Amino acid sequence: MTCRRAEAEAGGSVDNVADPTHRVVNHFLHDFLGGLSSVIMQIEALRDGTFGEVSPGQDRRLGRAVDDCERMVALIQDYRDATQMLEGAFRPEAEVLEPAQLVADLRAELEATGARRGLVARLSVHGRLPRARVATSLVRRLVVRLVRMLASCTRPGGEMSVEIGVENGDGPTRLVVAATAEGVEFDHDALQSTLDEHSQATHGVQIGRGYAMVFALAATRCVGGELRLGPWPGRGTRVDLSVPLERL
Amino acid sequence: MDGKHRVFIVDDDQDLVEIMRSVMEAAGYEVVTAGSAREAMERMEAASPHVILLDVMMEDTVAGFRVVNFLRDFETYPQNRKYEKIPIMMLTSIQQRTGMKFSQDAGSRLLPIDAFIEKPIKPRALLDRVAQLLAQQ
Repeated sequence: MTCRRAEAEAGGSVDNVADPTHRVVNHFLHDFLGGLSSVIMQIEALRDGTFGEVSPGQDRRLGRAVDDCERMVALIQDYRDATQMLEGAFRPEAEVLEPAQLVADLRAELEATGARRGLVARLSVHGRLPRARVATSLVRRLVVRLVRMLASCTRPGGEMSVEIGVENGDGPTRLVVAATAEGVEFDHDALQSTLDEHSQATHGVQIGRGYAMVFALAATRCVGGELRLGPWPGRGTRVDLSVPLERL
Repeated sequence: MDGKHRVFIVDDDQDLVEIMRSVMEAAGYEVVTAGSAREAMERMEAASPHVILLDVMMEDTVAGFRVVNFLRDFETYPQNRKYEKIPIMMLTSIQQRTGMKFSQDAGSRLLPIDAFIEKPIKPRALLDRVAQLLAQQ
Protein backbone atom coordinates (compact mmCIF):
# COMPACT_ATOMS: atom_id res chain seq x y z
CA MET A 1 0.00 0.00 0.00
CA THR A 2 1.53 3.28 -0.97
CA CYS A 3 1.45 6.17 1.36
CA ARG A 4 -1.02 7.95 -0.92
CA ARG A 5 -3.27 4.91 -1.11
CA ALA A 6 -3.20 4.45 2.66
CA GLU A 7 -4.07 8.12 2.92
CA ALA A 8 -6.99 7.70 0.57
CA GLU A 9 -8.28 4.63 2.38
CA ALA A 10 -7.98 6.15 5.80
CA GLY A 11 -9.79 9.22 4.58
CA GLY A 12 -12.34 7.02 2.91
CA SER A 13 -13.06 5.16 6.08
CA VAL A 14 -14.49 8.37 7.43
CA ASP A 15 -15.22 10.68 4.54
CA ASN A 16 -16.59 8.42 1.82
CA VAL A 17 -19.68 7.78 3.86
CA ALA A 18 -22.35 9.24 1.60
CA ASP A 19 -24.81 10.39 4.22
CA PRO A 20 -23.66 13.69 5.77
CA THR A 21 -25.33 12.73 9.05
CA HIS A 22 -23.31 9.52 9.22
CA ARG A 23 -20.18 11.47 8.39
CA VAL A 24 -20.76 13.80 11.31
CA VAL A 25 -21.59 10.84 13.54
CA ASN A 26 -18.34 9.14 12.49
CA HIS A 27 -16.34 12.17 13.47
CA PHE A 28 -18.09 12.31 16.84
CA LEU A 29 -17.47 8.61 17.39
CA HIS A 30 -13.80 9.09 16.58
CA ASP A 31 -13.65 11.73 19.31
CA PHE A 32 -15.48 9.45 21.78
CA LEU A 33 -12.95 6.73 21.04
CA GLY A 34 -10.10 9.18 21.55
CA GLY A 35 -11.47 10.14 24.97
CA LEU A 36 -11.93 6.53 26.02
CA SER A 37 -8.44 5.63 24.81
CA SER A 38 -7.06 8.32 27.05
CA VAL A 39 -9.10 7.10 30.05
CA ILE A 40 -7.94 3.50 29.51
CA MET A 41 -4.32 4.55 29.27
CA GLN A 42 -4.60 6.68 32.43
CA ILE A 43 -6.08 3.75 34.37
CA GLU A 44 -3.58 1.25 33.02
CA ALA A 45 -0.74 3.59 33.97
CA LEU A 46 -2.15 3.70 37.51
CA ARG A 47 -2.34 -0.11 37.59
CA ASP A 48 1.22 -0.39 36.27
CA GLY A 49 2.44 1.61 39.25
CA THR A 50 3.64 4.52 37.11
CA PHE A 51 2.26 6.94 39.73
CA GLY A 52 2.88 4.86 42.84
CA GLU A 53 1.77 1.60 44.38
CA VAL A 54 -1.83 0.46 44.05
CA SER A 55 -3.42 -1.98 46.51
CA PRO A 56 -4.85 -5.28 45.21
CA GLY A 57 -8.38 -4.05 45.99
CA GLN A 58 -7.82 -0.82 44.10
CA ASP A 59 -6.29 -2.77 41.23
CA ARG A 60 -9.43 -4.94 40.99
CA ARG A 61 -11.66 -1.86 40.81
CA LEU A 62 -9.41 -0.25 38.23
CA GLY A 63 -9.49 -3.49 36.23
CA ARG A 64 -13.29 -3.36 36.21
CA ALA A 65 -13.14 0.26 35.04
CA VAL A 66 -10.89 -0.77 32.14
CA ASP A 67 -13.28 -3.61 31.25
CA ASP A 68 -16.17 -1.16 31.22
CA CYS A 69 -14.26 1.28 29.03
CA GLU A 70 -13.26 -1.50 26.65
CA ARG A 71 -16.87 -2.58 26.35
CA MET A 72 -17.78 0.98 25.42
CA VAL A 73 -14.96 1.07 22.87
CA ALA A 74 -16.26 -2.15 21.31
CA LEU A 75 -19.79 -0.79 21.28
CA ILE A 76 -18.74 2.44 19.57
CA GLN A 77 -16.65 0.55 17.01
CA ASP A 78 -19.56 -1.80 16.30
CA TYR A 79 -22.00 1.06 15.93
CA ARG A 80 -19.67 3.00 13.65
CA ASP A 81 -18.80 0.04 11.46
CA ALA A 82 -22.28 -1.49 11.36
CA THR A 83 -23.80 1.77 10.12
CA GLN A 84 -21.15 1.94 7.40
CA MET A 85 -21.75 -1.69 6.45
CA LEU A 86 -25.49 -1.12 6.21
CA GLU A 87 -24.78 1.83 3.96
CA GLY A 88 -22.39 -0.23 1.81
CA ALA A 89 -19.51 2.10 2.64
CA PHE A 90 -17.43 -0.44 4.56
CA ARG A 91 -15.10 -2.46 2.37
CA PRO A 92 -12.75 -4.59 4.45
CA GLU A 93 -9.58 -5.70 2.72
CA ALA A 94 -9.07 -9.44 2.26
CA GLU A 95 -6.00 -10.67 4.10
CA VAL A 96 -4.37 -14.02 4.67
CA LEU A 97 -6.11 -15.83 7.51
CA GLU A 98 -3.53 -17.52 9.69
CA PRO A 99 -5.47 -20.30 11.41
CA ALA A 100 -3.10 -20.44 14.38
CA GLN A 101 -3.67 -16.74 15.05
CA LEU A 102 -7.44 -17.07 14.85
CA VAL A 103 -7.40 -20.03 17.23
CA ALA A 104 -5.06 -18.19 19.63
CA ASP A 105 -7.30 -15.09 19.61
CA LEU A 106 -10.37 -17.16 20.22
CA ARG A 107 -8.74 -19.13 23.01
CA ALA A 108 -7.61 -15.89 24.70
CA GLU A 109 -11.09 -14.39 24.37
CA LEU A 110 -12.75 -17.51 25.79
CA GLU A 111 -10.33 -17.68 28.71
CA ALA A 112 -10.84 -13.98 29.52
CA THR A 113 -14.62 -14.14 29.15
CA GLY A 114 -14.81 -17.37 31.14
CA ALA A 115 -12.72 -15.95 33.98
CA ARG A 116 -14.61 -12.66 34.05
CA ARG A 117 -18.04 -14.25 34.16
CA GLY A 118 -17.23 -17.41 36.12
CA LEU A 119 -17.96 -19.74 33.19
CA VAL A 120 -16.36 -22.93 31.95
CA ALA A 121 -15.19 -22.02 28.44
CA ARG A 122 -14.00 -24.66 25.96
CA LEU A 123 -12.58 -24.42 22.46
CA SER A 124 -12.36 -27.38 20.07
CA VAL A 125 -10.63 -27.21 16.70
CA HIS A 126 -11.77 -29.83 14.20
CA GLY A 127 -9.26 -30.93 11.61
CA ARG A 128 -6.66 -28.65 10.17
CA LEU A 129 -7.74 -25.13 9.28
CA PRO A 130 -6.32 -24.01 5.92
CA ARG A 131 -4.53 -20.78 5.20
CA ALA A 132 -7.04 -18.74 3.27
CA ARG A 133 -7.87 -15.27 2.04
CA VAL A 134 -10.76 -13.55 3.76
CA ALA A 135 -11.58 -10.29 5.57
CA THR A 136 -9.60 -11.64 8.50
CA SER A 137 -9.87 -8.71 10.91
CA LEU A 138 -13.61 -8.54 10.47
CA VAL A 139 -14.10 -12.30 10.80
CA ARG A 140 -12.00 -12.32 13.97
CA ARG A 141 -14.03 -9.45 15.41
CA LEU A 142 -17.28 -11.12 14.46
CA VAL A 143 -16.37 -14.40 16.14
CA VAL A 144 -15.21 -12.62 19.30
CA ARG A 145 -18.42 -10.57 19.45
CA LEU A 146 -20.52 -13.72 19.07
CA VAL A 147 -18.64 -15.35 21.93
CA ARG A 148 -19.29 -12.30 24.14
CA MET A 149 -22.93 -12.23 23.11
CA LEU A 150 -23.34 -15.88 23.98
CA ALA A 151 -21.53 -15.47 27.30
CA SER A 152 -24.28 -13.09 28.40
CA CYS A 153 -26.82 -15.93 28.24
CA THR A 154 -24.65 -18.60 29.90
CA ARG A 155 -25.67 -19.36 33.49
CA PRO A 156 -23.04 -18.66 36.19
CA GLY A 157 -20.74 -21.69 36.34
CA GLY A 158 -22.26 -22.98 33.09
CA GLU A 159 -20.33 -24.13 30.07
CA MET A 160 -19.77 -22.14 26.94
CA SER A 161 -18.23 -24.08 24.12
CA VAL A 162 -16.91 -23.07 20.71
CA GLU A 163 -16.12 -25.50 17.92
CA ILE A 164 -14.26 -24.33 14.85
CA GLY A 165 -13.50 -26.16 11.63
CA VAL A 166 -13.95 -26.12 7.86
CA GLU A 167 -16.65 -27.52 5.65
CA ASN A 168 -15.85 -28.71 2.14
CA GLY A 169 -19.16 -29.07 0.35
CA ASP A 170 -20.09 -28.46 -3.28
CA GLY A 171 -19.45 -24.75 -3.01
CA PRO A 172 -16.44 -22.92 -1.63
CA THR A 173 -14.66 -24.09 1.50
CA ARG A 174 -16.32 -22.50 4.51
CA LEU A 175 -15.04 -21.68 7.94
CA VAL A 176 -17.64 -22.96 10.39
CA VAL A 177 -17.99 -21.86 13.98
CA ALA A 178 -20.55 -23.45 16.28
CA ALA A 179 -20.94 -21.98 19.74
CA THR A 180 -23.20 -23.21 22.51
CA ALA A 181 -24.05 -21.66 25.85
CA GLU A 182 -25.47 -23.59 28.78
CA GLY A 183 -28.14 -21.62 30.57
CA VAL A 184 -30.86 -19.57 29.00
CA GLU A 185 -32.78 -21.38 26.29
CA PHE A 186 -34.18 -18.71 24.05
CA ASP A 187 -37.39 -19.32 22.27
CA HIS A 188 -36.79 -19.98 18.56
CA ASP A 189 -39.28 -17.30 17.46
CA ALA A 190 -37.75 -14.69 19.74
CA LEU A 191 -34.32 -15.41 18.26
CA GLN A 192 -35.69 -15.18 14.73
CA SER A 193 -37.26 -11.82 15.49
CA THR A 194 -33.84 -10.67 16.70
CA LEU A 195 -32.38 -11.63 13.34
CA ASP A 196 -35.23 -10.22 11.30
CA GLU A 197 -35.85 -6.93 13.01
CA HIS A 198 -32.59 -5.95 14.68
CA SER A 199 -34.42 -6.14 17.97
CA GLN A 200 -33.41 -7.82 21.21
CA ALA A 201 -34.58 -11.18 22.52
CA THR A 202 -35.21 -11.05 26.24
CA HIS A 203 -35.42 -14.05 28.51
CA GLY A 204 -34.28 -12.81 31.89
CA VAL A 205 -31.11 -11.80 30.03
CA GLN A 206 -30.86 -10.27 26.58
CA ILE A 207 -29.10 -11.55 23.53
CA GLY A 208 -27.98 -9.02 20.96
CA ARG A 209 -28.02 -6.21 23.48
CA GLY A 210 -27.16 -2.78 22.13
CA TYR A 211 -25.58 -2.92 18.73
CA ALA A 212 -24.00 -6.35 19.09
CA MET A 213 -26.58 -8.13 16.95
CA VAL A 214 -26.79 -5.33 14.39
CA PHE A 215 -23.02 -5.51 14.03
CA ALA A 216 -22.99 -9.32 13.89
CA LEU A 217 -25.61 -9.39 11.15
CA ALA A 218 -24.04 -6.61 9.12
CA ALA A 219 -20.55 -8.12 9.44
CA THR A 220 -21.83 -11.57 8.46
CA ARG A 221 -23.40 -10.13 5.31
CA CYS A 222 -20.26 -8.11 4.62
CA VAL A 223 -18.12 -11.28 4.50
CA GLY A 224 -20.76 -13.26 2.56
CA GLY A 225 -21.45 -15.52 5.52
CA GLU A 226 -24.47 -17.06 7.21
CA LEU A 227 -25.48 -16.67 10.83
CA ARG A 228 -28.04 -18.82 12.59
CA LEU A 229 -29.27 -18.52 16.16
CA GLY A 230 -31.31 -21.23 17.76
CA PRO A 231 -32.25 -22.91 21.00
CA TRP A 232 -30.02 -25.71 22.24
CA PRO A 233 -32.90 -27.89 23.33
CA GLY A 234 -32.99 -28.48 27.06
CA ARG A 235 -29.59 -26.87 27.51
CA GLY A 236 -29.39 -23.28 26.30
CA THR A 237 -28.66 -21.35 23.13
CA ARG A 238 -26.63 -22.09 20.02
CA VAL A 239 -25.03 -19.88 17.37
CA ASP A 240 -23.77 -21.15 14.02
CA LEU A 241 -21.63 -19.04 11.74
CA SER A 242 -20.19 -20.01 8.37
CA VAL A 243 -17.97 -17.87 6.19
CA PRO A 244 -16.74 -18.70 2.68
CA LEU A 245 -12.95 -18.86 2.34
CA GLU A 246 -10.71 -18.42 -0.66
CA ARG A 247 -8.13 -21.15 -0.06
CA LEU A 248 -4.49 -20.39 -0.75
CA MET B 1 23.64 10.61 21.72
CA ASP B 2 23.13 12.64 24.90
CA GLY B 3 22.02 9.73 27.09
CA LYS B 4 18.22 9.66 26.96
CA HIS B 5 16.28 8.50 23.94
CA ARG B 6 13.97 11.23 22.70
CA VAL B 7 10.41 10.34 21.71
CA PHE B 8 8.40 12.69 19.49
CA ILE B 9 4.68 12.27 20.22
CA VAL B 10 2.42 13.73 17.53
CA ASP B 11 -1.24 13.63 18.50
CA ASP B 12 -4.02 16.20 18.77
CA ASP B 13 -5.59 14.62 21.87
CA GLN B 14 -3.93 16.55 24.67
CA ASP B 15 -5.10 14.16 27.40
CA LEU B 16 -3.60 11.23 25.55
CA VAL B 17 -0.39 13.15 24.90
CA GLU B 18 -0.14 14.02 28.59
CA ILE B 19 -0.51 10.43 29.78
CA MET B 20 1.85 9.12 27.09
CA ARG B 21 4.36 11.72 28.19
CA SER B 22 4.03 10.60 31.84
CA VAL B 23 4.45 6.95 30.92
CA MET B 24 7.44 7.58 28.65
CA GLU B 25 9.14 9.95 31.11
CA ALA B 26 8.61 7.52 33.99
CA ALA B 27 10.42 4.94 31.85
CA GLY B 28 13.36 7.29 31.34
CA TYR B 29 12.62 8.78 27.92
CA GLU B 30 12.76 12.42 26.99
CA VAL B 31 9.56 13.58 25.31
CA VAL B 32 8.82 16.24 22.71
CA THR B 33 5.28 16.78 21.43
CA ALA B 34 3.30 18.29 18.56
CA GLY B 35 -0.47 18.58 18.23
CA SER B 36 -0.87 18.61 14.46
CA ALA B 37 0.80 17.45 11.26
CA ARG B 38 1.90 20.97 10.47
CA GLU B 39 3.41 21.46 13.90
CA ALA B 40 5.16 18.09 13.64
CA MET B 41 6.78 19.01 10.32
CA GLU B 42 7.84 22.40 11.64
CA ARG B 43 9.33 20.95 14.83
CA MET B 44 10.96 17.85 13.37
CA GLU B 45 14.42 19.36 13.00
CA ALA B 46 14.51 20.90 16.48
CA ALA B 47 12.93 17.83 18.06
CA SER B 48 15.65 15.59 16.65
CA PRO B 49 13.84 12.46 17.87
CA HIS B 50 15.01 8.87 18.05
CA VAL B 51 11.50 7.55 17.52
CA ILE B 52 8.21 9.11 16.37
CA LEU B 53 4.76 8.16 17.68
CA LEU B 54 2.28 9.49 15.17
CA ASP B 55 -1.52 9.73 15.26
CA VAL B 56 -3.39 9.33 11.96
CA MET B 57 -6.43 11.58 12.34
CA MET B 58 -5.57 15.01 13.69
CA GLU B 59 -6.55 18.30 12.01
CA ASP B 60 -8.03 16.15 9.25
CA THR B 61 -8.49 12.45 8.57
CA VAL B 62 -5.16 11.94 6.81
CA ALA B 63 -2.89 14.33 8.72
CA GLY B 64 -0.65 11.53 9.99
CA PHE B 65 -0.07 10.27 6.45
CA ARG B 66 1.07 13.72 5.40
CA VAL B 67 3.77 13.52 8.07
CA VAL B 68 4.78 10.07 6.75
CA ASN B 69 5.00 11.52 3.22
CA PHE B 70 7.08 14.38 4.55
CA LEU B 71 9.50 11.98 6.25
CA ARG B 72 9.67 9.19 3.68
CA ASP B 73 8.92 10.63 0.23
CA PHE B 74 12.48 11.57 -0.71
CA GLU B 75 11.60 12.56 -4.27
CA THR B 76 9.40 15.36 -2.98
CA TYR B 77 11.44 16.11 0.13
CA PRO B 78 15.06 15.17 -0.67
CA GLN B 79 16.26 17.23 2.29
CA ASN B 80 14.48 14.82 4.62
CA ARG B 81 16.59 11.78 3.82
CA LYS B 82 18.31 12.57 7.13
CA TYR B 83 15.14 11.30 8.87
CA GLU B 84 15.17 7.99 7.03
CA LYS B 85 16.43 5.96 9.98
CA ILE B 86 14.06 7.42 12.58
CA PRO B 87 11.41 4.76 13.24
CA ILE B 88 7.78 5.82 12.90
CA MET B 89 5.04 4.07 14.86
CA MET B 90 1.49 5.04 13.98
CA LEU B 91 -1.12 5.26 16.73
CA THR B 92 -4.40 4.36 15.18
CA SER B 93 -7.84 2.93 15.65
CA ILE B 94 -8.39 2.33 11.93
CA GLN B 95 -5.72 -0.27 11.08
CA GLN B 96 -7.90 -3.15 12.16
CA ARG B 97 -10.80 -1.97 10.01
CA THR B 98 -8.91 -1.23 6.84
CA GLY B 99 -6.28 -3.95 7.13
CA MET B 100 -3.57 -1.37 6.44
CA LYS B 101 -0.18 -2.91 5.93
CA PHE B 102 3.19 -1.33 6.25
CA SER B 103 6.82 -1.82 5.31
CA GLN B 104 10.01 -0.42 6.75
CA ASP B 105 11.29 0.02 3.20
CA ALA B 106 10.65 3.58 1.98
CA GLY B 107 10.63 2.31 -1.62
CA SER B 108 7.99 -0.30 -0.92
CA ARG B 109 4.44 -0.11 -2.23
CA LEU B 110 3.29 -0.50 1.37
CA LEU B 111 2.91 2.32 3.85
CA PRO B 112 6.54 3.14 4.73
CA ILE B 113 6.44 3.12 8.50
CA ASP B 114 7.91 0.80 11.10
CA ALA B 115 4.99 -0.22 13.30
CA PHE B 116 1.35 0.29 14.16
CA ILE B 117 -0.11 0.28 17.62
CA GLU B 118 -3.86 0.10 18.07
CA LYS B 119 -5.73 2.51 20.31
CA PRO B 120 -6.65 2.06 23.13
CA ILE B 121 -2.98 1.65 23.98
CA LYS B 122 -1.73 -0.23 27.01
CA PRO B 123 1.29 1.55 28.58
CA ARG B 124 3.29 -1.68 28.83
CA ALA B 125 2.64 -2.49 25.16
CA LEU B 126 3.67 1.03 24.16
CA LEU B 127 6.94 0.85 26.10
CA ASP B 128 7.72 -2.62 24.71
CA ARG B 129 7.13 -1.52 21.11
CA VAL B 130 9.21 1.64 21.50
CA ALA B 131 12.05 -0.37 23.06
CA GLN B 132 11.86 -2.86 20.16
CA LEU B 133 12.01 -0.09 17.57
CA LEU B 134 15.00 1.51 19.24
CA ALA B 135 16.75 -1.85 19.53
CA GLN B 136 16.33 -2.40 15.78
CA GLN B 137 18.07 0.87 14.93
